[in-house]
Amino acid sequence: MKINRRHFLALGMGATAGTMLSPLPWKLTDDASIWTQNWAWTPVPEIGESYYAGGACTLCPGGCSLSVRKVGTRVVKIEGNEESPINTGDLCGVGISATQLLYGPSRIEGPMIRAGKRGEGKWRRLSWEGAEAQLAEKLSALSGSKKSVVALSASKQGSVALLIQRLLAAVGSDRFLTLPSVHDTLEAAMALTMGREPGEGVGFDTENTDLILSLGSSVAEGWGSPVRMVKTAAAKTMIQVEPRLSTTASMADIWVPAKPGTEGVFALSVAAAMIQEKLYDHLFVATATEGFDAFSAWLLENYTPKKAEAVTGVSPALVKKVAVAFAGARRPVAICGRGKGDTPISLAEALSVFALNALKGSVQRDGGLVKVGAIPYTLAMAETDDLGAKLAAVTEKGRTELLMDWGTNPFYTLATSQEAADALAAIPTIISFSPYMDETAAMADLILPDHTHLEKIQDVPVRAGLERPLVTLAQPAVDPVMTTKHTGEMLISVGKELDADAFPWDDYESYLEESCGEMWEALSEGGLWQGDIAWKRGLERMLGTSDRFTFVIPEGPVFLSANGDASRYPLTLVPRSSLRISSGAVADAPFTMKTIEDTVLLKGVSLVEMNPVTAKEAGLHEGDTATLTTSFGMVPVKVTLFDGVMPGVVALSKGLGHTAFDEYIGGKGSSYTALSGAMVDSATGFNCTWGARASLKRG
Amino acid sequence: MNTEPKETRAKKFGMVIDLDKCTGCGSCMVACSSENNVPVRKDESDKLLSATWIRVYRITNGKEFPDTEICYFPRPCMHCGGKNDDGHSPCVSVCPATATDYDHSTGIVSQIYTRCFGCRYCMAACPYHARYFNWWDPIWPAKIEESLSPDVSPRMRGVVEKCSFCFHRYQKAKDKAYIEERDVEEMEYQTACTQACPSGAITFGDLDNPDHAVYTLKQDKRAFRLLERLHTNPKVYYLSARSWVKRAGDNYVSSEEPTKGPGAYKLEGHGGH
Amino acid sequence: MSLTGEKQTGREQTGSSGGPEEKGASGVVALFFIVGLAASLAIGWIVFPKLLYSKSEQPFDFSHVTHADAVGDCESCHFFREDGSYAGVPTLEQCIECHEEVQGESEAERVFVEEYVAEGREVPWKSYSRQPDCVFFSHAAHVKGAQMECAECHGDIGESESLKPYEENKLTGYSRDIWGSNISGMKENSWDRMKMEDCGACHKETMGSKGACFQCHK
Repeated sequence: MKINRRHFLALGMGATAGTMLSPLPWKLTDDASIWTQNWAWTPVPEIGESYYAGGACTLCPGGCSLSVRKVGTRVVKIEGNEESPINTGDLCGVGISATQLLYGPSRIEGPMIRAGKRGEGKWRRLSWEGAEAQLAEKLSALSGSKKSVVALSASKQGSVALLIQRLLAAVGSDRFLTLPSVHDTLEAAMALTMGREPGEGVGFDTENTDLILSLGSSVAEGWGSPVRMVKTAAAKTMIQVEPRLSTTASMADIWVPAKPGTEGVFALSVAAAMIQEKLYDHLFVATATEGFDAFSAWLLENYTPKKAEAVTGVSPALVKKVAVAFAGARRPVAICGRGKGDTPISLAEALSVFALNALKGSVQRDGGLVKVGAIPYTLAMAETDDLGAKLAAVTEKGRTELLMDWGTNPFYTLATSQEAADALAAIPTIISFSPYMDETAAMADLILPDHTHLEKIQDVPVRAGLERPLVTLAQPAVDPVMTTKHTGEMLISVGKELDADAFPWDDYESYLEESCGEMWEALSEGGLWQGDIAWKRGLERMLGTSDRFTFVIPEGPVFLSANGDASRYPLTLVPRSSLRISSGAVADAPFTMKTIEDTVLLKGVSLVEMNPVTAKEAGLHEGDTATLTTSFGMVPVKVTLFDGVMPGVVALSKGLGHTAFDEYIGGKGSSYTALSGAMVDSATGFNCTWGARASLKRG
Repeated sequence: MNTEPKETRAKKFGMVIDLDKCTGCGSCMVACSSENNVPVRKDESDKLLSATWIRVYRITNGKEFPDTEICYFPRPCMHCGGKNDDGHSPCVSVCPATATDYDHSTGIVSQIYTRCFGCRYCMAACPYHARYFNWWDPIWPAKIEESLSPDVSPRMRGVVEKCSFCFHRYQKAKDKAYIEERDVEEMEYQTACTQACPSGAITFGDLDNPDHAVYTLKQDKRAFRLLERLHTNPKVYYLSARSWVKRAGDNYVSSEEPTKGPGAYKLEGHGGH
Repeated sequence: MSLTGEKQTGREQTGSSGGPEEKGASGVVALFFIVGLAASLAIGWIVFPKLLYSKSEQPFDFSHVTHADAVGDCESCHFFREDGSYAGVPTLEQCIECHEEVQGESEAERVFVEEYVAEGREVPWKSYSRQPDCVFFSHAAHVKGAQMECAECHGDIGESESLKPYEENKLTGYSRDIWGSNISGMKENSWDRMKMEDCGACHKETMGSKGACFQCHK
C-alpha cells in the first residue's frame, strides 16, 4: 500500500476534528488569556490578618502618633493615630511614606566600615560586636586628649540624647550638639523676659487663639507640629508677613509682603503703632510687666511705622491696619521662626516678638505665648553652653577630630557653603548611626545603623511649640528589616566599655523605663504622655505677684542683612517651604517625590521662582535653564515665573539636591541649604540665615 | 419617596472638597498611593510618566504682585455618571474591553486591570486627566514589595489605572457590616485621602443620603463641579467662596472669557497628568 | 516541473476511481482519519491535562473528619475575624492551641510538630480554592449575607480523611479546582468549577444580575 497525500490529509482532518472535540484548544485559549493578565513577575501581596500597631513619627519635630496598618508580619500603610491630641487621626505625606523608608533602597543593611576612599561607597560589613569594639576603640584613643570629639543628636532631650551625652562625658567632651531651631532662640528670649528653668520651653497656644500674626512662619507648610498647624491654618484668622505668596500667605486674611528678613522689624513697627495709637493692653502692661517705659521710648525713637518702612517696605497704613487687627482681637498671638522654624532667628527678633505679644497681654494666658514646663525625666541632662559657637566650629577646618551623628545628617543640614562642606569632609573620623544612607553616612568611616522609628521603642520628646510638654513613644511595629541595632542599646554596650559606672543598665528597655519615671505608665499604656498646662496653675498671673514680664531692649541687630555684594548679586534668594518635601535630615521617600509639583522640580532639575517683572529685567523666560549663584555656591536651575514672589526676590525649594540616599531622591534638584551660607547672630552665635544675595544667569 | 430598605437602595458615593481649606500639603496623594499600591518611578519629577490617582494642582488668579492669590485643586477620578447618571461616563462609553464600568449600585467607575488591554481610549476620553498608563511593569525597589497592600491588586505593564474611591474599603466595611448584620455607616467607608487630609478639606459619603455630610455640602452655594458644561455629571464637588476659583472650574476658551481681569486664572505647571 | 507532474498523476488517479482497489484505499483513508481523530482525542483528553497540571503533595496529610470530630464544627478553625474578614486556613498560632505536643502516632502529626510547631514555622499549605489576586471574594457576603453553606462552593472537603494532591496549572498558576477536575469544564455539582462564569451565573440567578465589575474584582 502506498501512503499518499490523501492519507495525510485524512490524518490531519481526523486530528483536527479530534482536537476540536477535545478540551485542548478551548482550555488553552482561556489559560493563555489568563497568562497574559497575570505575569509571573507581577507581585501578589500576601494576604493575612489586618491589624494596627501603635507608634510615633520621628521624621520631623512635630510629634505625631501613628497607627501602623499591618497585614500578617508586614507593614502596609501608616496612618495618623486618632487618639493623638496633636494629629487626631491625620498625617502628612512624609509620615505616611515611611513604609518606603522602612523597606526602601536607602536603608543600610548592617554595621559597616569604610573599605575604599571616603565617600566612594565601598564598605566592609562588620558584626555588631566588631562595630561596637571599633567605636569604643576610636573613642578611647581620644579619651582625655585635647582633641575635639563631637556628637550631633537629633534630639536635645530624651533617653538616647542622655546616653550620647554620657558617652561624650566618658571621653571628656562637652560637645553634645543639636541643630538649633527657632526654639533655641525663643528659649534664650524667654530667659531674659520671663525667666527660665532648665528644660523649660516656649509654646504657642494656637488652639485657643483667635488671630495668628505669623512673622514669616509657614503655618500651613510645616512650622511647628505640621499636621496640627495645617488644621490651624484652615480654621483661624491669620496675618502673614513674608516676601512671597506662600500657601500660608494665600490663606491668610491679610498678607504683608515685607522685604525678606525684615519680619522682626515689622513686628517692632506694629508694636510701636500699638503704643502710638494706645492700642496696647494697659492693664497687663501696668500690672504684670517691667521695663515698659524704657522699651517704649526706644521703640518710638527707632521703629515707628514710618522709620521701619525704609527697612521693611511696608506702608505705615498697612502697619496700622495690622496693629488694629492684632489689638482688636480677643486672644491674638504673634508667632515667629521663618519657614518651618528649623532655622533660628536672631535674639533681637525673638525679643521683639515677645514684646509684641506682651503689649497685648498675650503671654502666659489662653491663646498666647506660654511657658512650657520641663519634661520630668528622672535622669537630668546638662544643657550645652555656647551651642552656637561649638556648632560653628564643626564647619571650620581642623576644629573637630571625631564626629558622631545620630539623625542630624550634618553633611546636608550644616553644609551651608562649599567651605563648610569641605571642613566637614576633612574631619578625621566620622561615625554615623543613621538607618539610611544619608549624606553623612555616605561620608562616614564607620556606620552603626539604628532601627527606624517603626522598628524600635523609644521616647520622643516633642519640641514643636505646643502649649504643654509632651512625649510620644515610638514602638516596634515590625521586626527589624535589616541587621540594625537600637542606638540606645548600642550606646549602653559601648559606654560600659569606656565608663561602666556611667552606664549601669542591663539593657535599653529597663533604662528607658527608669529614665521616663512617672511618665512611663502613660507612655507604655497609651504611647503618649502630656504634662500640665503650666500657666493655668494658680492665680499667679492674675495677681501679678510672680512671672512678671520684662520688656528687654535688644542689643544686637533685629534685621540681619544678607551677605554678598549687591552689584554682583542683584537678587535676594529665599527658601520655599513645602510639606511635600522633607527638608530635615531624612529625605523624601518615592511616594513623597510623586507629590512634588513641576514648578518645584521638573525632570530632576530644581526650579527657581521669580516675578515676571524680575525675569523681564534679567531677560529670562519660563522654563529657561539658568545658573543660580550666591557667594557660597552655584547650582543649575530652571526658571519658573510666579506673580506672588516679590520683585527682586527669587525662591528655591528647601530639601532637594540630596547626593546620597537612593536613586529616587539622590541627584534630584539642588540644595537651597548649600547656597544659603551663614548669618551669625552675635547674641547667640547661631547661624540665622534667612537667605542670601544671588545672581541668576541664563545657561 | 424611596421605600426600599436601606441596605439594598442604590448608593451614590461622592466627594466634596473645600478648596478654601486645602493647603496643598499633598498628604492625600501619598495616602492614596500607599493605600492603592500606586507604582513609583525613579524620576517622579517627570510628570508625563508619574502616576498619582489624586493629583493636587496649583492655580493662581493671574494677578500681579501683591494681588496674587493661589488655590490648590485636588483632583481624584470624578466618577462621572453621565447625563441622569445613566452610566455613560466619558471613559466607560469608549472602553472596547469593558475594563472600565459604571456600577449603578454605588455610582463608582471601576477599572479592572486584568481586563484592560491598554488601548488608552479612556485616557483620551477623560476630560480630567484622571487616568494613568503603565508603560512598563512597575518596579518595587529593595524590599518595598513587602509594603504592598493585598487589598488592591498590583498592576502590570500595558494597563490603565485610576482612582477607585478606595472601593476595597467599602468591601471591607461591608464585610464587617455583614457579620454584624447591619448597614455600612457613613464613617466606616471613607477614602484614604479623606482620612489623611489634615485640614479636613475632603468629605466623602453617599450623595443621595440626607444623613451624610456630603448631601448637605453639595448643595452649598459655594459648590461647583469641574467642567460642568460637558455634562459629565461628576461625583466630586468643590467648594470655594472665591469667584475666580469657581470660574476656573469651567475651562473657558479665550473667545468666551477674557484671559485677564476678574475671573481669569492661570494653571501652574508644565502639563503631564 | 514537479508540480506539473504531480498534477498529472492526480488527474490519472481521479479518472480511474470506482474500482474495488479504490474502495480499499478509501477504507485506509478512513483509517487514517480515525487514527488522527483518536490520537488527538487522546492527547486532548488524557495527555493534555497531564501536561498542563503539575501535581504536588501538601506538606503533610490532614484529616478534616478527625478534626471535625474533635472540635465539633467548621467555625472553630475557619472563622470570621472581628473586622469581617475570613481567616481561611488556620495559622500555626491556632493549631498550637491543641498541638503544642505530639498527639497520636501518625506520621503527619510528627512532621507537623517537629518541623513546624517546634520551629515556629507557618505551614505552607497549598490552597485548593484560592482565587487569583484580581478577585475580591467576600466570605461574609456569601456565608452571612446570602446564608450559603460552605459545601456549595467547597464540596465535601469537610468530610475528607486525607488531602488530595494539589494540582497547579502550569500556564496560569491557578489551582485546578478553579477550572474543575473535569478538563472539559463540565460541572455536575455547584462546587465543581469556580470560574467567573460560575460566579456570574449564580449571581444572575439569585440576584437578577451578574453585578458590577468591582463587586468581585480589585
